[in-house]
Amino acid sequence: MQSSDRRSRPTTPPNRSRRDLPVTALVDNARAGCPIAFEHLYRRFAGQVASYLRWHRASDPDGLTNDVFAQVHRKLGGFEGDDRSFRSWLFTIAHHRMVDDRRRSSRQPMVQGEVGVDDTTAADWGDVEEDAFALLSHDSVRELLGVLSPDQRDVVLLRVVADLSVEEVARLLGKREGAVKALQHRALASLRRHLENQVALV
Amino acid sequence: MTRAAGPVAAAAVPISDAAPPAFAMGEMSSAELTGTDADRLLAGDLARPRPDLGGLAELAAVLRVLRSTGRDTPPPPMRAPLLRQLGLGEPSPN
Repeated sequence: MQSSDRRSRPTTPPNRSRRDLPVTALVDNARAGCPIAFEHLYRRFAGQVASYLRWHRASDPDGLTNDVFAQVHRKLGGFEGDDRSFRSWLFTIAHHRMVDDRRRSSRQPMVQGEVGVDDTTAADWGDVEEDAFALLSHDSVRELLGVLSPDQRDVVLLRVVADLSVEEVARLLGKREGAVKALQHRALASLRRHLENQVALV
Repeated sequence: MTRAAGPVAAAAVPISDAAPPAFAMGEMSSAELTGTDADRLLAGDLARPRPDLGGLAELAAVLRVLRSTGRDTPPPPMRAPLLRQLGLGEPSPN
């Protein structure tokens, strides 16, 4: 736990932009009552949180992102840790909010559908991926995620969109690391098979 | 309690003496995604194609879309309740 003396003093060095500050320094400043420091935390992470919620088809991703950060602001005094653990803590809150939202809306989170990828073939791997990347729409990716189980989808989005490690995802979801690895492997294998079938049909 | 020596001794082969996995040497052609493939895809560094495995380029592209939205999505506007909570006031209607 931080000492009360440390909490009472903003720690921004005078000649350093807040944009470059480590997250822990921004957290210290925000905890000391500096709203601008909190705003910088918001600017740094809110887009990523909104994206995570959007891929989960939250009912109002932008509003929910605001709710997540309101909760972060309220609970900031109890946070301990470094930059990585702040990200993990933030996405724990975002994930729980998403689960609450999903329960509230009581709707099917995903539907299975066609995926709009091209079957362009080329000798160069980079070109193939570039072509596929260019042809993918967000809607098609969202539909593709519908082939995954909720657990698999949680793991893929936390690993890729939230950029969390296996260990962090395991802690967040209350699972063992081995279980998270198995879920991510099955998820990617399932997505790969689905995409292969889509390409074969074209 | 004493453990049986046989299996423990057999398992204690130095890593350097153990044969590497076949797929690591390119000797096995499998039509399934390996754990190594999955780890590399998630790390964004599956640099070499596996011609035996269809859909891999498309999967890499899907993960790239997901990753790019996580990194590049601009923050949504702060709404009035959060602004009030921070003591920043509400945005001007102009």
